[in-house]
Amino acid sequence: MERLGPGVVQRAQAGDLDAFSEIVKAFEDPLYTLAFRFLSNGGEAEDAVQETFLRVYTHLPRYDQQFKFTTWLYRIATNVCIDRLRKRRATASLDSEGQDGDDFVGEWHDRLASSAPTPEEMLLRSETCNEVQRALSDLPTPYQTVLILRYIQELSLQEISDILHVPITTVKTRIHRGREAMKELMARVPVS
Amino acid sequence: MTCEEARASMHFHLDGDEHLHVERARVHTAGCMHCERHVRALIEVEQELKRLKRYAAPSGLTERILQSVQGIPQKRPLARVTM
Repeated sequence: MERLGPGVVQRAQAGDLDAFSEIVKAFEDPLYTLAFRFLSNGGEAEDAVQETFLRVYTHLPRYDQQFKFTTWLYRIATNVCIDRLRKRRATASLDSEGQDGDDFVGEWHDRLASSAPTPEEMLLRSETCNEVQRALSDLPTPYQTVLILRYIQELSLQEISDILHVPITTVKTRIHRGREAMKELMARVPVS
Repeated sequence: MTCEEARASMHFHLDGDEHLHVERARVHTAGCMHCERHVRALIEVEQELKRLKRYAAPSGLTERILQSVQGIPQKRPLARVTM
């Protein structure tokens, strides 16, 4: 909540658009980074941030101030990204029936290659091809989620536990397994 | 302590949890080349993740978000249950 002035959330809850705009400005950058790390795609990340803030806006009157605002916000953003990944994986498995079908890397490389890039997109492409990002996106979603929240959003284990509604011991187990899986994936020789 | 036990415990060390088991794992790791290499690779994973770029949202996103909520009704607050 340190990013927001006093009373901003309360005013936004009462429908004050200026206050809501302050919330958007304070959090759009970290939420865009979060979404990009989940989805490995700039356009989808932008859509996910828009969807997140739309849900935040409509549900703000139901936000309970006894809980930390950022926990509530990150829970919505994380759920939006996980939903999108789930839909993407469901579609990909339908599309690739009869094939071995677990190669999402090829799918988003094809998509990225399809139109002329802006300089901003060029930067995102180089990042998408980044070995670390690729390994991160190949992880099972529960591991990917905790590693993004822990290392990219730099949240505490307690905050991650609150966001995901799981015990700290579960968060730790997922981080441990996620680190092991990342280590294995990063040790693979990159396919050129 | 086996290599497997040491590797599992060293994850707690990476999380900043220090207890007796972790101390024993550190002793094991210091004397075991394979575990030492394993833990170094895990630290490298952590560093690589921390090094990933943070982005600024695309320009104009704030305005697009604010436009998208214009005229959208907000949910009613949930009724508070008072004891």
